[in-house]
Amino acid sequence: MPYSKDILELKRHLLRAAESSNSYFDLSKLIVDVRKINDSEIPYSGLGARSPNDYFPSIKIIGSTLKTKENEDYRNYNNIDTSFTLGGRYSTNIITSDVPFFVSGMSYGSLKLPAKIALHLALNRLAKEGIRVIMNTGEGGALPWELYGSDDSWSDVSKKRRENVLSYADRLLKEHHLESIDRESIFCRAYPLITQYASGRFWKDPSYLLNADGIEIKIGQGAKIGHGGLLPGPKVTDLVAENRGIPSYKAAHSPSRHLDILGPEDLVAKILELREITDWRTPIIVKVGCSRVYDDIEIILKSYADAASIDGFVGGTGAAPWELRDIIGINTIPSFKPAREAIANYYYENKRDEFRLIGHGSVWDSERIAKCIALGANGVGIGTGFLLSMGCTLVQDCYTNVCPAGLTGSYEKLDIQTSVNGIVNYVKGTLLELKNIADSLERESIHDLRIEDLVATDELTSLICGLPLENGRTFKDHVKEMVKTVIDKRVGLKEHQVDEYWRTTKKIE
Amino acid sequence: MSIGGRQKKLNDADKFIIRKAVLELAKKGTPRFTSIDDDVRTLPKAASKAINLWDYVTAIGAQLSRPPYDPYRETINLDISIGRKKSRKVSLNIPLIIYSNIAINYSSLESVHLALNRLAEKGNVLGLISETEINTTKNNKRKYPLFKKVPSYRNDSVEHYQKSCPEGLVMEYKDQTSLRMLQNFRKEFDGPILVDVSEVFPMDTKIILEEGADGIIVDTDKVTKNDRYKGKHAIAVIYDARNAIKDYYKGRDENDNDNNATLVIAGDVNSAGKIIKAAALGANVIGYSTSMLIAHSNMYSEKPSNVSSIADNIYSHMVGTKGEIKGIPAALGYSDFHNLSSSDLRTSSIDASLQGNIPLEGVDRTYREMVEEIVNEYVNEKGIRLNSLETQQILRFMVSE
Repeated sequence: MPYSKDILELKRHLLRAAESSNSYFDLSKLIVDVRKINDSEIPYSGLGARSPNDYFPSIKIIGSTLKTKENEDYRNYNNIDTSFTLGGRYSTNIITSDVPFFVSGMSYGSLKLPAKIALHLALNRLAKEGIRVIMNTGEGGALPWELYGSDDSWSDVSKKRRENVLSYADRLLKEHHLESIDRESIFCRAYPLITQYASGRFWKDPSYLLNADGIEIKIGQGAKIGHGGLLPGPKVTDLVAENRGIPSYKAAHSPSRHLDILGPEDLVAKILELREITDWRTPIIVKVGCSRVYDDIEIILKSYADAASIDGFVGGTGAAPWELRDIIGINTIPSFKPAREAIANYYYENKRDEFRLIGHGSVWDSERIAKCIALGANGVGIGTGFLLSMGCTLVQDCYTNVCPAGLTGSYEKLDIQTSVNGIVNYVKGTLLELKNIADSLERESIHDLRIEDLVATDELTSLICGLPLENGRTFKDHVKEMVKTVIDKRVGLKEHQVDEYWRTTKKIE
Repeated sequence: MSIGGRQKKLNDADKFIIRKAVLELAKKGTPRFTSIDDDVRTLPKAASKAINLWDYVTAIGAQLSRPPYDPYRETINLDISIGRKKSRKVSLNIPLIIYSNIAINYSSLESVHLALNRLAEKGNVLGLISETEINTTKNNKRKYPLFKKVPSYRNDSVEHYQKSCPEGLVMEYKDQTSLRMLQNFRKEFDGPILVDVSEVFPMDTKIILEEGADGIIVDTDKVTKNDRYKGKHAIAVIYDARNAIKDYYKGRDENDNDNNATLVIAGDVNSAGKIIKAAALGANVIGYSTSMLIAHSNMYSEKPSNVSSIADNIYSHMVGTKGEIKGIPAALGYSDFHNLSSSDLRTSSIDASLQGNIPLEGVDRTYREMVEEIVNEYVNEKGIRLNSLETQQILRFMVSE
């Protein structure tokens, strides 16, 4: 949001006052105070929280390398499997993707139309080149060409409905000065689509569920766990409102919980309802923000879902209350351990099946994807990475209608073709890197990465992820050794000598 | 090797690395030479001064295993009353008392007064701790509770302070003289008396409560400057303050109905996130300084001061803050702000876990508990017999900084 002169002045005065006072003020947060002074509202922010410790850099993959010599034939990795399948646990259909990462839920409204079209065209181009990437619609409904882009999607659609859909598509393109885009080429979807079933139920067309390749029940997302979705009023344009079935220019606050899912039994009932609607064809994912991960995964495992999706608090968003985004939830990496434990405990008593675990939050490149997979994820969702490949500058004003890159606002700035190229290259490069990592570890599949392939570079990461340290010892070994030293040396010493010894040992340590 | 762990703050440099890495991929579509994590690892370690442990503490939200409340559609309670069994109670609708060490001028204080009155008119009553009185007129009568500050260097009688009809008093505790003053004031004043113990904390909390104080005020900024808390964080201070109150009530008659000595935490608690974390660690009421900061910032304005416009700023800020502190407990699954507890917190820092006894994220146990478990396992494995003092000494060593 462009700040008025008054607001900037106020911030300057606050900074001066804070610096001159004896009390501690978090100067980086003063802008939050200024925003509240300006409009009495809860200040929002976009993208993910800034976690001071997201653990990714503190984990190393033993033996893997990204260092590819310029003259090396790095494209010769065709025998390495990077595919990702979803479904088959309870659903009769299985979604197949050629990469273990997909486009996280970013809705139309949160993203402007040109950015959504760039994603659509890029995934189509990738699919034609043999790289299918799954796209998640986000909670704000789907665009006409997403729902009616496959060959059989128009079957059973009345003439009137068809006219309405095409008319809405035309108006969308016209409003954004994109009439030059050929209707036939855009009404084609070659990639798998997952639609999000969120508490706001921002969709009005049954095809939203029937034409999707997968359905994701969104209980929560990492950036605003327990809060519900949010699209600020200025972003709810007439066309966005029409797509969602809500009033224009009024903030769209989804309820913080599904009104019909208050506990595990309700979740089972809801999934069975969706199974009946889709004739048990469609894979169903349940997405939660990372908090009580063990309990939530345990519930999802027992609920007829095909997959669980966990989203660390660093996961991105189009808009979230700033303070809430920064303080609720846990990081992505520590969530894998309880998730693994819940899954292991469940399958200790049950026959192993096609259940999938998907991780989100702070995942932008191949090495992070590989780390998530080694820690137990079957696939990962990426949002910000795709935005960056389209030119996102990380200014975090996604909740406004102003975006320097033309992604979440100022849409006329975005060059669709350049963005499509960026996305295609990002996916291809990341895929090659993943194959590179698997190859350097002599694995035939990226899914053969195991927790044993990882080491921690510090004690906290070792402790939280259950990883050995770089010297091969675990945190437990380290503590036991220290206890042994202390106890051994203590024998025969008087108490004050023990204290003295400990002090000396501490200095040596 | 230290147990403390490497802690590094993500900052703009990290953002630059992330963007550079993805743009490189988006431009070429070929593998890079280093990963984001390789590049982040080579960044210089953040100076310990720049680390604020608050940033390493988060709260766990409500999802499937516990449904969240909806602050936009459901009532979230923030009300609290200050005053123990024998005292007159003072009720607040927002658990904040405007408090600050910042010396502000009279006109700025007038702005705070105006803002608090406007808030009270809208049903948002919060308190003010002030040494200076506002000259009120018939039209400008105080509508919020005032906690009149009693400076320790003054020897005035309680009647002197009662002239401005304060709802409560705030006394400073420094030594035996302060204690005698508290004893005298307690006999004469029937409203809540809060005692600022920051100078001597954590000593004498028990005595102060025994002498009839209705609660204690602990300013974390002041306490962390004391030798005893040097190098420690506000988290440790709040944790110890709550334990000091718990210790006071330990072994007391449960039927006595006296279990609500108020803990007011001030200092480094000046944002909604910190308010929630401090409340979860045990604070009942927050001594909130940002309103004073807004009033004080007027001093730096080139424009002529305007009591009313500054009051508007404070009012707006407080309305926004109220929205935040209602929203966060709701997202944690509470309909009452005061149900927050330390079990709602998680940390990604060993220091924070040790200082506030906060469980580490992902493992849901405190660092101390995890070390204790390994020590006990080792001792049992080896058949070593240790008495409890020895076990404590070993643990103290293992978790010492």
